[in-house]
Amino acid sequence: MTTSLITPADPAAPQSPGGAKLRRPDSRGLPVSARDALSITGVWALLIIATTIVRPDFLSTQSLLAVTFTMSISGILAVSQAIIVISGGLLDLSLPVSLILSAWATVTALNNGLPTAVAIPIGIVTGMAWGGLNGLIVVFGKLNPIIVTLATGFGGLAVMLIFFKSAQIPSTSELRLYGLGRFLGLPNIFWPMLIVIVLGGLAFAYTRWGRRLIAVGGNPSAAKARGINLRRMRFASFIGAGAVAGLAGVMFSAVTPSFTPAAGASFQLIVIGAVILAGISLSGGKGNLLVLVLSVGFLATIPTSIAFFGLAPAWALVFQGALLIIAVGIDGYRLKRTAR
Amino acid sequence: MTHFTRGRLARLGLVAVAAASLMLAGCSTVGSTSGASTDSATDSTFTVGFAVGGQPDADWQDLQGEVAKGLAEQRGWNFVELSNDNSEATATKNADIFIQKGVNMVMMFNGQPSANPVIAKKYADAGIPVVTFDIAQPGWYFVGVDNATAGTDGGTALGNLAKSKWNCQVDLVISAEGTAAGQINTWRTGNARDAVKKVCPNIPEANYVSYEADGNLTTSLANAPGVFAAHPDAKNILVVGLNDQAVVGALQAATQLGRDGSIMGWGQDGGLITGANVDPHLAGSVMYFLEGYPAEAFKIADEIAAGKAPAVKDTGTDPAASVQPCPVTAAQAAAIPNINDRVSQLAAAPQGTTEYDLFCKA
Amino acid sequence: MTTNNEVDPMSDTPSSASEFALSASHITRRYGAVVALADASMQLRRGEVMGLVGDNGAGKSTFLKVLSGAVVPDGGDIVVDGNPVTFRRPSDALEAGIETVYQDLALVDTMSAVQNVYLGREELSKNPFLRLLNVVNDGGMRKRSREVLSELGVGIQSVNVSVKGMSGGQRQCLAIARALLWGRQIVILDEPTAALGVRESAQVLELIGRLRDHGVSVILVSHNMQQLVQVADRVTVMRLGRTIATRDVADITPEGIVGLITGAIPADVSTPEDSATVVH
Repeated sequence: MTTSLITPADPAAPQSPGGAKLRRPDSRGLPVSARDALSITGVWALLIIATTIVRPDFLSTQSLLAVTFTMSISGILAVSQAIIVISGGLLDLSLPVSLILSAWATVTALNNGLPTAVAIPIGIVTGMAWGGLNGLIVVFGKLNPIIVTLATGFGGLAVMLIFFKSAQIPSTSELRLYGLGRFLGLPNIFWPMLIVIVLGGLAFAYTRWGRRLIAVGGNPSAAKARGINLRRMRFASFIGAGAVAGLAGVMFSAVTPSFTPAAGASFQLIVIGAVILAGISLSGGKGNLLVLVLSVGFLATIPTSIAFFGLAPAWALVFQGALLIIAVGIDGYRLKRTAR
Repeated sequence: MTHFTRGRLARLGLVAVAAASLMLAGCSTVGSTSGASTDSATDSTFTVGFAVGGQPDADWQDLQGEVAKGLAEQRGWNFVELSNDNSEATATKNADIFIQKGVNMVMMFNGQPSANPVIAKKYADAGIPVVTFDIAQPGWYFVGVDNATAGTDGGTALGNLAKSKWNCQVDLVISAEGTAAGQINTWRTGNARDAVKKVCPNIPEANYVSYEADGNLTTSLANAPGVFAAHPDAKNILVVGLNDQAVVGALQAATQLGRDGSIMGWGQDGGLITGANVDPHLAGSVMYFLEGYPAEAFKIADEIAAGKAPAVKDTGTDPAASVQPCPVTAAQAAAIPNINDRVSQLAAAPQGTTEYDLFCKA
Repeated sequence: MTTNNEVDPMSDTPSSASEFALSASHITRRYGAVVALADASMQLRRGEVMGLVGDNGAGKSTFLKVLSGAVVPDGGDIVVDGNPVTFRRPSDALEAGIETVYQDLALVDTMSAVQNVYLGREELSKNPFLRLLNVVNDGGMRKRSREVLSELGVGIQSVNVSVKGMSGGQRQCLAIARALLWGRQIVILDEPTAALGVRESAQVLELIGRLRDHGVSVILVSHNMQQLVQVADRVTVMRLGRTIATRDVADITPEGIVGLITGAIPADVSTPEDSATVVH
C-alpha cells in the first residue's frame, strides 16, 4: 500500500495534487511496463555487447542454447511467483519445495509404471495442492504470507527428507527423453515456459480473472467494495500459482536425472530477483509478464557471460547476490518516485 | 462479539494445525536410536559410546551405528548408541549421558560442529577420549576420508581413460567446483586436475576451466551450459568435480547443448554411480564407504582398550586414521554390493578388516 | 398523495412502498458495550439528494456501512424499492443497486480508468469462444465508459490511462460516474469533496446534480454546509447514534443545520442524551 490516494490539499490551490503529478513517470507518454521492458532490454543488451567485445564468439547458437535452457525452469517458477506477488500475496518462499514436491510426485508416478499422460497431471496437481495448503493458511488464517511460506517451506522440506533422499526419473521414460530433446533448435523445456508466460500475460491483461487478481493486489479495499470476494481470489491465486509451480516441477524432473529434497533452493534467488527486476512490485497490483521473461533472460545470461569472461567460479554467487540487492533497490526507488 | 471470537478461534485453529504439522515433521527426525542399551558400564567391560549424526538425508549415518555395534559385539564390548539428531542441543546432552554412563571412549559424527568446543570440554574434564568423523576438533582423534588421495585417484583414473581412448588429445578439462566446501573442494577438484595433468602433460593450461557447481546437480546444471558455450570448439572433454552431483550436472548440460559426443566425467563420493539410471558419460567415481568409518575408529579403540592410547592426531592434514577412498568405474561400481549388504559383510569379516579391504582390493 | 414535500420524514409507514428508493428504519448496531447506532432511520426518495450530517461519532459512518452492506446491523429493516432486503456483505448492497463511493478506497491505482469503472463487473467478450476463456470485451467497455463519462461531463484525457496520474477531482468523478454506468439507483457518497480544491469540488457537485437528473438517489455525507445547501434536496441530522431530524433544504439555513447537529436546536424525536443512557 502506498500513501493516501488523495493528497490533502489547500482548497485555495486546486492544482496542487496535479502539479507534482506532471513530473511523474506514468504521465509521460510511455506506459510504465514499456519503460521497464526497455530498461531491462537495455541492461541485457549491455551485458551481451560487453561479453561480445571480450569474446566475439559469444553470439552463437551454443550461447543461445545455454541461455534458453537456463531460463526455462526459472521462467516458469517466476510466473508462479509473479501470480502471488501481483495478487498481493507478497512472496511465496516455499516455491523451491513446491517445485521439488511436484517433481518428486511426477517421478514417483513414472517409477511406479504410470504413463506419462498421468504422471504429468499428477505433478501439476501436487503443485496445486501445495499452493492450496499455503493459501488455506494465509487466507483463512489471515497470516503474513512470507512467514507462512517460510514455515511451510521448512516443514515441507523436512517432510520430504523423511520420505526420500534422492529421486531419479527413469532414464528411458518419455518425459526424460522429452527433457533431453530440442524443438526448433531450442531446448524442449523452453517452449512450455514461453507458453506459460504468454498465456499468463494474456490472462492477466485480458481476462476477468486477471483483472480482478490485479485489483485484489493493487487495492484490496476497492476490490472488496466492488463486490469481489478477496478470500476466494487470494485462495485461487495460490492454487493457480501452485499449478504453474507444478508444471515447473514436471519440467525440472525431465531435465534433472537425480535430485534431492533441497535441490530447489538454488532457484529461490534468481526467481525472486527476476520478479523484482521486472518491476512486479512487492506491494502488489502491478506487473507485466512479458517484462518478466526479459528479466529472467537477463539473469540467465549472467552465468554464461561469466563463463565467457573466464571469471572464477565464486563470481557467479557474487553477481547473483549483488543483482538481488540492486533489484530491491530499484523497486524501492520506483515506489518512492511514484508515491506522490 | 461472537463472530469476532469465532474468527479468532478459527485462526488459532489453523495456526495450531500448521504448527502441529511442522512439529510432526520435526519430531519424526527426532527420537534417539538406542542400540544395545547396556547400563552395565559399572563392570570392567570396555564400553564404547557411539553418537550417530541423525541428519535426515544420509542413511550412512545410521549405518555407521550399525557397523560400530557389530564391531563392538565382535570384541565383546558394551555399546551405547545415541543420535545427535542433527541438533546442537541433543549432541551436547548426549555427551552428558555418555559421561554419566561411564563409557570408556566416544565415537561420533556431529553435523552441527558449533557445539563441539563445549562437548570437548565435557569429555576432557571426564577424561574420555573421542573419535570424530570428518569434522575436526582439537583434542579429538580425527577419522576421515582421505580427500586429497580421493581427488588424485579420481583424476588419475580419468586421465588414464583419456590417454587410452583419446591419446591425451583433450580439448577441455572442466572442474565442477563447490567453493563453499573450502579445502575439501581444493583436494578433490584441484588434485584431480593435477592428476590429469600428470597423466596427460600435453594438455595446455588454457584448456583447464572451473565453474561454480555448489556441489549440487541443480546449480551445476544451471551454470555449466555457459562453460560449454564459451568453449564451442572443444570436442574431447573431461569433467571432474566436488561430487557426483556436480559432475553429472556438467554432463547433463553437455547433453542439452549437443556436446556429449565425446565427454567423460569422474565423480566423487559415489552418489550417482550406482543404480538403474547412471549417466552414460559418468565413467566412474570415488567411493568412500562412509558407513565403514567405525572400522578405522575401532583400530584406535583397540589400542585404547589395550591401555596403549595412541597420540592424538586431530586434523584433516594429519589424521589419526584415514579412510582409504576407492576409485571405481561405472562397471566396477555395479559389482559392489549395496550399502546394507556392505554393512552385513563387514560385520561378518575378521577383526581389523575395512570396507576398502573387502570391496576395493578385489 | 399530495406532494413529496409533505411526507413526514420520520414516518414508519410510507404511504406507498414504491415511492421510496430506500427506506431504512430503526437500525441499531452496537460494538460490545458501545452503541454506535441507537435508532437510525431514513427515507430516500427517487432522484433526490439527501444530505447526511452529524458530529464526529454521531454514527454517520456506521449508518453508511450498514446501508452499503459493510456492517451487519443488530436490528432494524431496510427496504429497497419496496422490497425488504438483508445485507450481509458489500456485494449484497451492490446487487440491490446501492453504490458506495468511499473517498480513499474507490479506485485501484495500477489500473486504467475503464478497468476501474468496470471492476467487478467486467463485460465478457461477445465471441463465444473467448467468452469461454473468460476474456473481457475491452472495446465495448471502453466505448460505453467514454459515452457515459462525456455525458456526465467528466473530463479525463483517456480511459486507457492509469488512474494514478489523475487529479483527485477526476478520480472522484470517475468513481461516481461508475455508479451511473452500472445502473445504480442509489449512490452513497462519503465526503466526496473532502480533499479537493474549490474548482474540483465544483466539478463533483455538478456531477452529483447530473446523477439526480438521471433519476439516481444520492446520500451525501459532508461537513461542508454550504455545499449541502447548494446540492441537496433534504438533509438528515444524526446525533449520538440517532437520526434526529430531516429537513427540506429550502426550509433551513446552514446555521440551522449546525444548530441541529450540536443540539442547540431541539430534535424532532425524543433523544435520551440528557438522561445519559448512551454508554460510551
